[in-house]
Parts: sequence; C-alpha cells; structure tokens
Amino acid sequence: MEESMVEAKPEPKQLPAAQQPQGPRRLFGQPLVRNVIVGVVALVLFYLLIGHLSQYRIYQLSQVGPYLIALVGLSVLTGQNGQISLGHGALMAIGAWTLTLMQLHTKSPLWLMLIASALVTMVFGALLGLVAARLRGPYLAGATLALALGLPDITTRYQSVFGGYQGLEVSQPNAPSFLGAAATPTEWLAIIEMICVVVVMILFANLLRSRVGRKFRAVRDDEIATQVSGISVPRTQVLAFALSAAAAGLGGGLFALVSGNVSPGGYTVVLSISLLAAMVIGGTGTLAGAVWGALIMVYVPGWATTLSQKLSLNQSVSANLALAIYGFLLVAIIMVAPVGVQGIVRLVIFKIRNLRKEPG
Amino acid sequence: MDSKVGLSVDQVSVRFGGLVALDRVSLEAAPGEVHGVIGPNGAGKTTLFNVMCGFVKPDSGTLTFFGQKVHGLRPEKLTRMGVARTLQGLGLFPRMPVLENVMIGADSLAKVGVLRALIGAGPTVSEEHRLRAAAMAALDRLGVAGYASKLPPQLPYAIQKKVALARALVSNPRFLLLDEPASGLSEEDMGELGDLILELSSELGIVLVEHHMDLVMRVCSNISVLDFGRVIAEGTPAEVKANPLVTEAYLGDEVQA
Repeated sequence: MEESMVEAKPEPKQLPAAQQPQGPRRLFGQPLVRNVIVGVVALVLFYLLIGHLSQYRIYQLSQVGPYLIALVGLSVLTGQNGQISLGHGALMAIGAWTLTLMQLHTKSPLWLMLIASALVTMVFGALLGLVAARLRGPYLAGATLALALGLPDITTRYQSVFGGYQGLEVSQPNAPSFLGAAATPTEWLAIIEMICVVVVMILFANLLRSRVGRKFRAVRDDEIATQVSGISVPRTQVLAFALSAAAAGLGGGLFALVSGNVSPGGYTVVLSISLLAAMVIGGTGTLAGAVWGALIMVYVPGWATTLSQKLSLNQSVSANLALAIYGFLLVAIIMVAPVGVQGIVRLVIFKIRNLRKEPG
Repeated sequence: MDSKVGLSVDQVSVRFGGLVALDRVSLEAAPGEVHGVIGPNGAGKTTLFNVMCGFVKPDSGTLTFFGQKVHGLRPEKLTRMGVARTLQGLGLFPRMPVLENVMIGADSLAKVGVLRALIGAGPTVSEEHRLRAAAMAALDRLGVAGYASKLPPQLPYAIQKKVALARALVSNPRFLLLDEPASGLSEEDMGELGDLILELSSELGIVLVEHHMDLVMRVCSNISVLDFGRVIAEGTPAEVKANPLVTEAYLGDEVQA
C-alpha cells in the first residue's frame, strides 16, 4: 500500500531497460521495418509473377489495385471508425479527374499527380467529414449517397472542364528507360500500382497500430466514453474521413490511368455500392479484407460472364447474372461469416495452428 | 477563492425546457477530500455531474477549476485539464481489449501526431511502450492486470468496473468524478471499493454520487444533499445524518422524533 502511495504522481513511466528489446530484435520490432520488409518481398514476388502472365492477364490484374486502395480507405472508415460512406465512388472520381486534369494542363511527373489525387480528395474528404461528424447511421449514409448521386452530374454540367458524358482521355505512362524494352506500358502500370498498394498498406497498417487507430476504434465503440477519456470525437471522425478519402482519391487516380479515360458513367452510385459490398464480403475493417474484396470486384463479374455464356442464357439474363452472383455472394457470406472472407481465412489459420499444437 | 478549492460549482442553474433540473446549486470539492452528492431519484445528481464534466452547459452560474473558469468547455478539454470521470453504465469499449481500453484513457499523455503514426517508426514505438506500461501499471494497481488481453464483455461486472476505474485513473487526474461506482457490486466488493476511494483521496479530489449510504457515510468527508434541484443540506456525514430536512427528502414526510 505504502509503495503505491509514494508513486502517486508518477512521471511518464519508462519500461525497465531489460524489457526493451535489444539489437536486431529491436529493429525488427519496429512496425515500419517489419512492414517494409514484407512490402518489398511482396513487390519482388509480384514482379516475378507478371513476367509469367499474358498482357491481358496483367491488364486484368492491374484493375485490382485501384479498388484495393479505395477499399482500404473505406474499410478503415467503416470497420475501424464506425462511419458508413456511400460516397467513396464519388471520392474516387475526384481523384480520377484530379489526375486527368493535371495530365491535360500541366507537365507534372506521375508521382506528383498521384500524390495530388490523394491530397485533393483528402481535402474534399475532410469537408465531407465535417458534415459526417454531425450525422449518424442512416443520415450519414444519406448524405454520402447524395454526393455519389450528385457529383457525376457536375462533370456533365461543366463539360468544357470535365469533358461531359464523353469524359476525358488519359494517356498511360511509358516505362522508364532503365527498365528498357523489358516493360510494356501495361506491365509498368501494374508495377506502379503494386508500389502504391504496398505504400498504402504500410501506412494504414502503421496507423491502425498507433494511438490514432486506437482512437478510431474508441469512437466506433462508444462516443461518450471516448469524450470522457479526453478525446475529441468530431476531430477523430474528420481525420478518419480525410485519410479514408485520400486512399479513395489515390485509387481513383490509378483507376483513371488503368481505364485510359474518365467519364461520369464509370463513377456512378453503382461503384460506391459495389465498394461497400466488396468491403463487407472481404472483411470489414481489415486490410487483408480489402485485398479479397478487390479481387472479388475484378474477377467475379468476369467469371459470371463466362459462366452465363456457357449456360447459353439469353442476353438480358446473362447481362445481369454477374450482379446477381455478387448479391448472392454478399448474402451468403454475411450468413456464413459475418467478418467476411478474411474472417474465414483467420478461422482456418487458427484451426491449423491448433492441430499442429495438439500432437506436440 | 483560496487555492485549497479545487473544483467549484457556483450558483449553477440548468433548465430542460420548463423543468428546472438544478436551481442555483453551489458545491466546492477540494483535493484530498471525498465529496459525496446524495439525494432521492430525480434530485439532479447526474445533471450536476454532467455540468462538472462538461456534458451539460449551465444556463447560469460558473464552474471553476483551481480558480480558472471552465464552464462551457467541452468534456474532452476538461478531462485533459485533469477532471476524470467514470460513467454509470461502465462505458467500456466492447470490441477493444482491456489494455487498449485503458490506453485510450492514457491518450492525453501521448504526443505523436498523425504523420508520425502513418510512418510508424521511432517515437511512435517508444511512446506506445510508454502508454502500454502506464496502462498496465493502472490495471495492476487495481489488481486486474491479468485481464489485459480480454475483451470487456467476457469479464464479470466487478472486474469491468475496475477496468473503467483504471481508465479514469491512468491519466493521473487531479479530480475524479465517480458516478454510482458501487452499483451492482457485492458487499465484499463494496468494502474493497471504499478502501480504494479512501486511498485515492490522499492523491486527488473525489466527487462521489452514490445511493449506498453505508459507503457514502464511510468515505465522504463532506456531503451535499440535493432535492428537486436544490442543495437542501451540506456538511459532514454526522451533520447530514442529523438534519431533519434530509430524512424528510428521503422519506417524503416529516419525521417525528
């Protein structure tokens, strides 16, 4: 008892020296170091992989990246911070037009255009976040839905700037000379995307481990208790929205590069809802879930089309089959695994580990 | 006022529409003492608490903290100045482990910003170690460090209460507002809670809203009695016990001696 009285007003506490990991272990204990190592390995594997794929397969694969990055943003916002957004398709559009207009009117290098896509969208996201901080649940969904519905119309209203229904063309970057003739523009774009994916995943993984991620989760779980703990709920919500929008904007910029053009038809409310569905199917709130979600967004429609062609269904049925499969998958996964594909993956890993332990 | 006064409520009135929840209520809580707030249901105890921690802005009157006017400040500001509180309904974060729950309480001790958090190296890591250590120490002090990795809904109610208290204490507050800390506790747990409150009161000022009179009479050095939004009595436990107005408020009728 007496001891605890003495240390009544402790100075910021330090870990005893012995408990601080030392040497290489200490370096590896830094999340940044660990994540960068994993990221670089993933990049190398990806580079080796695309060497074995046809140009068409690489093109298909490069559609995954933009969705993946946008899904990371959406998933963190919804799964970690508890805010819903039906406007992430529109935020992707902001990023896409930012990149396109910069390419059209300036001679900016690619990296600058991509960063600008993220930052411009982040500003819009922060504004949206200010609105969001005052709204909850269905009202927030409604407000973000209004953005998704309204934004494409702005592009047709100001045709001279945004290109109207036709949209604007986007030219794909050429591979730098040091890669020589080894990389086609398609391959180069896939590599750029993979770099962006790795960087975004590392940044968000760091964020979620930090006190900022913890604050996101606290707001999600109990707003009053968060306030009582000395944390501003609206500030946290605006921050979450801004960072989430930055990811969506970068995804949008990459999406414009992959598509080779931007037009309002590509960023309708359907995109926003598809993102939301893919997030749930993949596993809300987890970074790995965003990977599953993006893969599903790209490959399931293709499979569905192939399947419907094999069944020789008539045109009107086969055209809608992909959407129907998507919907079915959503319902099935919510019933079987409320935490999505990533939830199933975790369960399997857990079971395998237990099996290994038992015989030992 | 003099420097002894810590958290002071002066002539505070709060109206909800036509209902007067608090009517010119004054209360002074000093560091090193336990100030009890009692009164029948609906007397305004919780409203008074909500004024003291910034959730309710008074229509008139002032709230001062060590001589500084603080009414109108948002709750998170007050917490950062050193007024911590526990909530009647626990208010633990159900999907975060106990340790993270307490680390949220320690967040005001942290400085690392968003950019550094994104990059995740250097100071971010050492600060996480520091917050973790502070949270573990707070849990350890209340004897619940063993539950650090558990989720709150998995734990017995009494343990959850201790976790909530650890979260309030981890930021080293100067004042602690306890909203019905004994509700749902067994006799034995309540005794332990009384010991803890007395121990804590040597370090910080405590304001206690509580229905269990045994506990209130045991730990409080001063008691304010509220009825219909007014302070009807104030004094030491013995004085309050002897005050006929108090008995009347609780029993609803004049008591013949």
